[in-house]
Amino acid sequence: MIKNLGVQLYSIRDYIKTAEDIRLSFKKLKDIGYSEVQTAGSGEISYEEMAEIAKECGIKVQGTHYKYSTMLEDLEKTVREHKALGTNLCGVGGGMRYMGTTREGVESYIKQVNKLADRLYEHGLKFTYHNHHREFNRLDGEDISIMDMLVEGLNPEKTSFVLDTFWVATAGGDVCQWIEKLKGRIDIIHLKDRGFTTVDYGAPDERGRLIQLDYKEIGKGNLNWDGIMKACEKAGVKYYCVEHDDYFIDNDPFKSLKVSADFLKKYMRGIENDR
Amino acid sequence: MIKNLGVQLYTIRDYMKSAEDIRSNFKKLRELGYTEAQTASSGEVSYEELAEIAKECGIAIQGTHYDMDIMENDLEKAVREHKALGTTNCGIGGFWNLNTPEETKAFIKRANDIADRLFEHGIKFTYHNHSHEFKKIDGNISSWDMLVDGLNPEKTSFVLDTFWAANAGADPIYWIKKLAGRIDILHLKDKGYTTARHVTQDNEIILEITEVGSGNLNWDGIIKAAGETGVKHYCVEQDRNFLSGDPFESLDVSAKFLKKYM
Repeated sequence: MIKNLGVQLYSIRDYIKTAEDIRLSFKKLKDIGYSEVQTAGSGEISYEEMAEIAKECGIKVQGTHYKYSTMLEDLEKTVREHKALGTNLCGVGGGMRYMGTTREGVESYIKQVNKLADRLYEHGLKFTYHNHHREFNRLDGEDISIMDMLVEGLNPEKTSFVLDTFWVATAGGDVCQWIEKLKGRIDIIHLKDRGFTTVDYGAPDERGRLIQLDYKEIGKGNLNWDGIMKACEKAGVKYYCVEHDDYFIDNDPFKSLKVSADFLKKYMRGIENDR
Repeated sequence: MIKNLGVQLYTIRDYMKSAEDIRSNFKKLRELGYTEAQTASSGEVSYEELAEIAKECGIAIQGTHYDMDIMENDLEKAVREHKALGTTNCGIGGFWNLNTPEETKAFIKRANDIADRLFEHGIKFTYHNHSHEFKKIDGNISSWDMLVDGLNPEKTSFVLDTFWAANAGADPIYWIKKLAGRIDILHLKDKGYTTARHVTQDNEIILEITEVGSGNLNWDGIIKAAGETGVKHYCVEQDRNFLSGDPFESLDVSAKFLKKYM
């Protein structure tokens, strides 16, 4: 059961440039059913100022997609900004460019992240990793995927996964199975559907890709949401975060986010369940 | 548990040009561990001749991907050729015009009519999916939902394609369970980064059809669900992206991976 619905702010990246923009957009989010957010930068203002606006609008910050280099080079700033935001989940949107697909590359990234997670943890913060599809690539010459390596190597106590349902499905992964596998290790789940976009269906391209299959409002694609929600509950997922990268209804991310929120209502605690 | 492993002959379409070709390549399939085949066409020979060669090589025919127009307009021929092949599964590889509820309803009616006529001869109509059926065409209803709802469960069955379902974002295990008793043939096809490692100009590595076990589908879960829901035939299909450009090499890898389920 989803208690509070969140949104990854990347979805409305074009509407959070200035303080005034952010205030307006946060209010809009509240109106359509979102009471939590995960950040993706702070636009033109400081995280401290963003935190103020969020508070004022009744929006809680679930976690961040933060700059990896800042975490490494300026721990003090990282900790300060996360404290200001009121979240202990300090994450990256991905790390493939640091890893590559060799065993050495992936192992050295895992080592670096675990060291960083140790330092963050001293300040009460957890490092979070958000996957795309590329993590489901096998290591060069081996039968193990990069995702398998991360699951095996990252410290389960001081890191957690922001599992992205769309990207797992895109890679052919079984979303429910991955949620079960990561039991206790997903603080935030990214809810993102995969289906046919409003672009008309055409023939596959020369590589056979059906390019019209892409991000969809939750419920408008084909992911098994009943199964996913059940698995999340069993796995102890704390925060639910809708992310919609592109292909919005009438090019308006708020319209798409509203459709997603409306669909997800059935998974939210209703009055009848509180009795 | 897979009893006999099959292959969709579309996988080796370039190796079936003559009777001699077919014979030597069916023998190759046997050596790799395949004892069943689903036809994609009969190539340069007649279905009767194809059936002879299959028999001679110890390959049983699971079913066909056949021509819907022949089923409709020349039932006698369709029945005769399926009897010759020794299969009761007469199917199509897919139907493309399912873009609206009206189109889909019209197709369902046509397919059910054909299925009625085939069933009088002991033959079932089978439908093999791609991804386009998973497009939502009526609110949250997809043409796939309509097919599942509308096709006669007694006289038709689904050839569920694991890759194309997963490609659409659908959960193959969910659909195998939902279609319990309605899948006679399951198409085993994996989705993952190909061994060919196609890299495009924008440096994107292509997620594609790959050997079973080399991609990311949940095979333990899929085979278990298939066993529990009465799937009769298992059929490996790989459309493209072969190891060293050789479909037999890819089929070998898939068969070896699937051994643990046999």
